[in-house]
Amino acid sequence: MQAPAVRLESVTKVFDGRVVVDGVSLDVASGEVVSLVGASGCGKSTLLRLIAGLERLDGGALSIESAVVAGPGAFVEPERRGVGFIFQDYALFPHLTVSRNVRYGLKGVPAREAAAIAEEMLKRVGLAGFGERYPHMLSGGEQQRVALARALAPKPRLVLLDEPFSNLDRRLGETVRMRTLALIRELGAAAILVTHDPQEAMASGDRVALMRRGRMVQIGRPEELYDRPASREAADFFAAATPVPGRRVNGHIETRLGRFPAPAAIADGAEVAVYLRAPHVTPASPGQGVEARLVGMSFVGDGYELLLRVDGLDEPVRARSAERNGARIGEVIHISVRPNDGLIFPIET
Amino acid sequence: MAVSAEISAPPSRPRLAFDGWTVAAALIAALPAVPILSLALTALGGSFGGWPELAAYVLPTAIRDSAILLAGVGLFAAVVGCGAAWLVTAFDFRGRRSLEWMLLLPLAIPTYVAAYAWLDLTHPLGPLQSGLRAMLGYTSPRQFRLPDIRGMGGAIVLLGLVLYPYVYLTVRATFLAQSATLIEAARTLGTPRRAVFRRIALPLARPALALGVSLALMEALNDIGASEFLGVKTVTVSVYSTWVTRNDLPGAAQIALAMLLFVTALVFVERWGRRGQRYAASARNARPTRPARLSGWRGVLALAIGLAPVLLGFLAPAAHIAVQAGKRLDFAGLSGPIVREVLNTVAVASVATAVVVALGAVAAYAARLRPAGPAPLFARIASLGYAVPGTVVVIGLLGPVAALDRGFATAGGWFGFATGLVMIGSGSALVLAYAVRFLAIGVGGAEAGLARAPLALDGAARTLGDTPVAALRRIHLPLARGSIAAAAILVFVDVMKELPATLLIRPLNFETLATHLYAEAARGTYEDGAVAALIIVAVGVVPVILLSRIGTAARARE
Repeated sequence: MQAPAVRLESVTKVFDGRVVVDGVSLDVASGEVVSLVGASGCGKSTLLRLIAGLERLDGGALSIESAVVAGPGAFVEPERRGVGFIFQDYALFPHLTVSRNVRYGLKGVPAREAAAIAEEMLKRVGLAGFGERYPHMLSGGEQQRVALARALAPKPRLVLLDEPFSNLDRRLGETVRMRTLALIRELGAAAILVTHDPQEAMASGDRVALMRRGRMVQIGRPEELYDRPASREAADFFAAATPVPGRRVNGHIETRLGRFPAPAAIADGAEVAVYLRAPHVTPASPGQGVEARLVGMSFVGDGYELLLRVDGLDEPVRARSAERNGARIGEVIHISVRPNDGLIFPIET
Repeated sequence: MAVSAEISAPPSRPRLAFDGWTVAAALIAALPAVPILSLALTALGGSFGGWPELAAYVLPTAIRDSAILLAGVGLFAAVVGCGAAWLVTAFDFRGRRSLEWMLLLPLAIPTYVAAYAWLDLTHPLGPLQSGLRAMLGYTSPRQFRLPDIRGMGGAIVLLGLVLYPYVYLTVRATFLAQSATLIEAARTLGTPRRAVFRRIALPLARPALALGVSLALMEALNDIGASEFLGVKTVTVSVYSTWVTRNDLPGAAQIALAMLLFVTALVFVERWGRRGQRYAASARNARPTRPARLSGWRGVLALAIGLAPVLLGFLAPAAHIAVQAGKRLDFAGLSGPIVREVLNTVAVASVATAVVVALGAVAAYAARLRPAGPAPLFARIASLGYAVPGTVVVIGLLGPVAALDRGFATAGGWFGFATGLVMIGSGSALVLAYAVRFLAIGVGGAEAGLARAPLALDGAARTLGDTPVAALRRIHLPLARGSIAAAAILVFVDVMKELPATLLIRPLNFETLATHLYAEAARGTYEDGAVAALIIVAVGVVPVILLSRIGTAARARE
């Protein structure tokens, strides 16, 4: 089996006595794209900077293509790691032309050849002919593409992307993201994409790694994380979910909204929380399901998302409806839950 | 691929708490630290034989005179500086734009040049008194003479006239940044327009006022020529005479230590003046205040009031120097000594500038590379010398420099030749003294330049294969060029004007423009001195132009 592009073993980083990255282990295979996702301040950007060598780690070890680059008694300076890094604000050198920026990392390459490589990279990111302009003359999306061309020009085996699409508006960001990842895959490099946006993480990564407070919470294919989140926070992170309290009774989980099949791990009588996302809950015919008062309704393109108050529940429940059905705010309607959809977690006491 | 081949053999280097950059920063910080420590050692280790005499006759007068002088200059500079700043920011009148930068002009005149010019100008047989007598119909100085400017009062006014621009500069910047909404809020709450200055603008400008006054007073404390010519025996003058005329180094060091107390007090007063207040941050996107238009005779009056400090602090002395220099050049041409002194001055100033700019860049870059370690502290320590008067720096340097020279002599002796005084004789000691004194400008200029580049640029350069040195050369130096060049100009001009350190530690018979002027003024002769003074003032105008351009550029961005 091929050596992983990067391997992290119990990597730890402490800033001013605060553990920012706490024993994170992760393997990224050659050519694989991993999304590193989490709320702001969870340590994901620091982890990326540790891999690039822009920060020194305080514990654990880090290897790139099976060579240790950081660990006890070892530290390879960032300029010798051969890693491409794309910064959130692109970090283009303002005093150099676009072409000079792209050529910057081509050490020991004859000038003519370097110019040709820069021209080729600019063509690939759709900026042919932009070489003689200066960064400040470009739009945000164009600057991002220059940053990409610059990071990829030295042909790194590993590309690190630190929220590079977050400064672009949503629509443009999506387009640029798809083109960026397509180009990285075409060049066969492995990539780690840091993002705080769960949609972006799931859309981009072969695998998604979820971080929380410096720790790796869960890692797997996007579908796994979405369908089988390992924790309540993960459940709520990938799509807004409402916790509904329940209890195991006679092999079922009983809740205010209905009955769910009980997982074997939960003992009879145990308290649980059932996390429900909007698509799990649908309007029912009168007399069926549970009564709920409609407190909010928003059109989301392929249907409506409803916000409902149910007696006995602290938080409003989200539901999805394909039709408006003439419902008005303040009305009482009936809702029902599909028994196999809830995400059930024990309540630690 | 080459990159992966390199990675497969990583150099395993143990992590060091102190790396090359930190060590370099520590060595640079030692430049001001060593003389200060050495000063304390000389002062405390020396015999206190002369101490009772110093304590009885010299020190009390010196400390009292210095305290009165500083208090007077501080008050004068604060009133004139704040008044001028308010005049050009709160009001608009014909000529205001020109007045704004002209008010900076006295900065171009070193204190000893101002004293030299005014003494000559107001001499009983000088142009001012002769002109007045002719106008009033008197024929002899016996019948009519103005009071002598020698003495404490004259010294306060004279130093205040050339030092108020420090206050003007800092306070004006604050007035310009003050938000109109604050003043409008005060007006709606019942403050009349004429009370805005006292109740809002001035209190808000207090930190800037404290900074400006402390800068002006540091210059006043550094001054040696003006106080001496005007007959005020300050501690600075006492240090100089104790060392030069009595050859008593420990005694001079003891007085110098007393001067450091003044400096500490100044820094403390500045801190106290600010008292942890940071008003500026809230006024980032503030709408600037609109100045009130003064037309007709009010405008003329405002301009006249504003021009008074410019006239007395710059135009009159500069014009007098120019006339005298012109006469001298007509009479004797450009004399040989002057040419040699210009070359001497340019040579030491160039070397010192190169040293200061290079060391400043290294210290500032080390602080950027190692923000978590002690490097940022070292950069601060390296900047300490600016607050320490030139005489104190030199008295502190004499010990270490003499030790070095003895070392060189011993080493020379082994090889059978006499080295002489290598450090002092070659001027290295002089350059060292300048470096200690002006390192703050080099560090500050480099820091300002580096601050323009976001940290991500360093990361980008590093991940693209640059070593820290390569990133400095390829990214930061090109981006920080402007700030570093400005710092270099400031250092060059400051070195050129510097008198006390030059007087004390220059090689034998090595004259610069400043020492030439000092020697003639001390002798009471006014031959080539005017030419030297004119050159100093002409070069001194350069940073003033620079400063005024920075001011306009900031306004153009708004």
